[in-house]
Amino acid sequence: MKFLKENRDGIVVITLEGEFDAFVVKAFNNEISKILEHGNDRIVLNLGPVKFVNSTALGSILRAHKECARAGGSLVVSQPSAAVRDAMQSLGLDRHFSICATDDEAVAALQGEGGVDIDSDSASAVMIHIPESTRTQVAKMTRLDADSLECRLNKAPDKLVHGRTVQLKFRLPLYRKEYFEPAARIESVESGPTGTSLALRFTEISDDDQKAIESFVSDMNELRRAARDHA
Amino acid sequence: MKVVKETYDGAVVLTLKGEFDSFVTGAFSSEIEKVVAEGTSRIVLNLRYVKFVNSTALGSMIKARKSCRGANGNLVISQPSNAVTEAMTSLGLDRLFSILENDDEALAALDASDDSGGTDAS
Repeated sequence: MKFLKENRDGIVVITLEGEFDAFVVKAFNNEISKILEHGNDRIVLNLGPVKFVNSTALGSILRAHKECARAGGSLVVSQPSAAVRDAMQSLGLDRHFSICATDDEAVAALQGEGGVDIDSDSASAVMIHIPESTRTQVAKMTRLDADSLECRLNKAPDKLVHGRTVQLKFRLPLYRKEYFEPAARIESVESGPTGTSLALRFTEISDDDQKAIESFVSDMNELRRAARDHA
Repeated sequence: MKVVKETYDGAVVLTLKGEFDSFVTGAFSSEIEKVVAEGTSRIVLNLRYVKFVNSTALGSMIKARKSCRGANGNLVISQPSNAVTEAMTSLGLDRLFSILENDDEALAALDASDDSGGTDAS
């Protein structure tokens, strides 16, 4: 097996090539230990060119993931090959790893730690009220940070443009029952075939709401880590 | 929130009533600390009367479980309400905690959890 190592802004991207079995686990573990010793605890593991993976190898990936987490970082799997994906799914490991389609996404996921992805299970609706408009747009929250959020709409009206300030209203069902109502500025609008993604930064928010969102984000990261580390 | 405490042979059943949110997390954690400090590290948490649970409260449950296990005991959950089940499932915490249908089963699970180990084949 071959290791390719690349450093991207403090995040190490390792690409493995060939067969990942019991014979190469030791080399893999050494590589991970070396990276952690150098103070890098955020690792992307690209498993695109891996043709075969066995249980010992999966165990070592899991251990690498735990070690990164213990050091305060994380390990994200990128581009798993069909063989890797099948093996991980059959053992339920796909639930314990963040799996990204590309290295770029994986790096972004690691850089973005601090915020929290909101999956469809606990999805919140975000009502977006545009000043001087009578209609309220309803979007689905996809990510929440202490000072910003991202959401998706099926179709964005022309008025939702970059730089515009809007009024938001949303709930965090896993935090409290009352609504959050910050004002926010649209920082980016990205339209694709499946809808429009909006990034919004809060411009006016009450202290209570601010504190509650910070708690929620840190709680959720902690809870997900607890659920993942149980693997 | 109200906490009702029942003491059994070497175990404590805590039944929580009401809303389990950030405001009551401190009281809950103190209660757990007290129980563990008094020498009982085997706890059943009955959550059938909990109408609402938030992320901070779930975090305090994880900490409580850790401190019980640190004292060679365990903390298991009994009869979670729908609200609790949904919140725990959405975060994958249902795989972390042992969840039982009633207090008797939960107490039995505490007895059984002394010998862990082994792997389920799938």
